Amino acid sequence: MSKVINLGRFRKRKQREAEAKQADANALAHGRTKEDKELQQREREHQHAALEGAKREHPLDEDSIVQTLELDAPKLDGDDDPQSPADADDEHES
Amino acid sequence: MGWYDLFSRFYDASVEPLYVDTRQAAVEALELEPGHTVLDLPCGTGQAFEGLLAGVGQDGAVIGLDGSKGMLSRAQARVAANAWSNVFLGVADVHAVDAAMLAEVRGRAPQIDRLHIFCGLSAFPQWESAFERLWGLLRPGGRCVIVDCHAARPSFQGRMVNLVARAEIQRETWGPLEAVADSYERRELPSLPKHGGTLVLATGVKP
Repeated sequence: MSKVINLGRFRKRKQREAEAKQADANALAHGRTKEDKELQQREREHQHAALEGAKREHPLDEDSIVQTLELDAPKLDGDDDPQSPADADDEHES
Repeated sequence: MGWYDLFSRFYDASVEPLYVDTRQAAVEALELEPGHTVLDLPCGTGQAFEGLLAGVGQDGAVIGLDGSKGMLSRAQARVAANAWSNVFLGVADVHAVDAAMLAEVRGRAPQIDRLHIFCGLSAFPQWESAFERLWGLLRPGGRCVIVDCHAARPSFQGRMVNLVARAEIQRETWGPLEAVADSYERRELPSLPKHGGTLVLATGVKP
């Protein structure tokens, strides 16, 4: 028995094929190669991994920043004196 | 379901008996030869196939296209019942038909020797561009036959035909063919009040 061809579907299929062909041509003319894309993807993954690896366990809060700065600050002469210069001034005034 | 899908259920019984002689006149005007390929659009329920096949013989072919799946399912049944092996059917929008589609339906790129447009141009939307598209598919030297009903001012019957067939029989459907064809001829065919207007047959050869 003869069959009825649905030419609407045929037209859409041909249109999709033509668009895919055009996309390939555009990629060839203006796009990046597959190797370029893979290389860039690898670099992106590498950078991401490096950033993730350098992250601290816990995010810094104000207290921990102050604590860190105090620990890291170089000790100056006279720092052993528990009395601060401001306290000394107060004493002179009194 | 479109209107013509519904129409297909009663088309053969109600309308087609009015066109038996008209179809014969159209086939004769096509001047078919054995081996010819005919594009029949709209083919409807395939009422023209028998006459067309008699002209093109076993080596020829009829490509029947229509926008209605309902019409085509009846055309398909007709082809199967007669075991015709050289009728090829496709459902298509007339405004989208191109050579690639014809090749898809036929199985290989066909050369269209004859173009048979029977009661199509009065009903197609944007009928002039539809004709241009079909004319473009006809080979140089190929013959086109248009048959349609016409009434410059449709009577009540004519308005009923317009309503039932979703047509505009006010259109001078032969005009575009007359503008581009060689050996152009037009004549009126015997018509009944039920036709709603005058049946017109126009024929021409593609330069």
